[in-house]
Amino acid sequence: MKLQGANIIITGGASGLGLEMGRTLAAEGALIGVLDRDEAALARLSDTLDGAQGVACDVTDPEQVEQKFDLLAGQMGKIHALINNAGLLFSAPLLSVGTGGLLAHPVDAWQKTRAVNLDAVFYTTRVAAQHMVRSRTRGVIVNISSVAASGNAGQSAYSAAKAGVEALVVTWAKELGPWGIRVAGVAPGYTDAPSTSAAVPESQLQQIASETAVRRLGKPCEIGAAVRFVLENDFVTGTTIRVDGGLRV
Amino acid sequence: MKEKFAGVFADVLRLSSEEIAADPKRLETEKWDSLQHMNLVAAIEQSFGIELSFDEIVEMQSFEKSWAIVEPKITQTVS
Repeated sequence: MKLQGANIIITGGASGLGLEMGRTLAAEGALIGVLDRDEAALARLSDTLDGAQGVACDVTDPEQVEQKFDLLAGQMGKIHALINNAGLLFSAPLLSVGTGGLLAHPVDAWQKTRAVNLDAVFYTTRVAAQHMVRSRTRGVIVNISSVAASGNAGQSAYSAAKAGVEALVVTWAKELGPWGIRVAGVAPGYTDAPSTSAAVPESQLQQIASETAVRRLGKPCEIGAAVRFVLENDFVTGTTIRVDGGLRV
Repeated sequence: MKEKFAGVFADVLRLSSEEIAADPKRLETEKWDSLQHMNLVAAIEQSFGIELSFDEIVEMQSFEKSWAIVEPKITQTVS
């Protein structure tokens, strides 16, 4: 796919890794649309990502997704790619010993984490794929996964959701391939991003960095570069690329 | 060209020449499900170097209807 002039929608693209992806792609001439629930970050979009269009949207609400995606597509034109980046990193063990006894992972946290990381991917992609199919756009869907997809202790919901996201890459690549639509994933390791720092203690991040083959956390631009590769390489589909500094080797 | 078209149909849907000659209908042919429909479209587009619109893809509900949609596009490509 040629990025010059491509219309690309990024969920959660108003800040963090999503914003960095947008910058990487915009630098190559892509036109970026953002669906994000953070209205303050959306308001800053004209300063943080020149030329980007943003629409407030809760991606866990399928009706909102349909309305807001249609609205953004109406403004932008034919949609060439969707990057399912919106995510919520939540850490809690299945069981922990508290002062009062045994504590179990909260059910509402499981549901919320799954909703943002997995259900939202389904909601946005079912709308985006319809747009692409109806206009016969040979588009690309990129699911942002995580190394957690192979199972991180202390991240039941997040790991399960990301594993689901990677399974959807395979399923959708098979189903949408004949339409000319590619589906691939990018699985970042631990990156030096606000969302990571908010969810993982600094001491743990330092430990993780020391166990990574390259002995450091990833940079957001390195994840953006992987997304760019997936978009531009017309033979990449049905696979999830790990960008983790060798954490899992 | 129609023979080639019939060949594509037969290959993708695993139908015999007799079955193709009987003008199979999408809704009446068990092997012709939605996934196979898209495989068929992809094979036709590749074999003849044409592109079908979404509406045309939806209209392709039988062998003969499909040929009626595809034939003018092939003729256009050749000329």
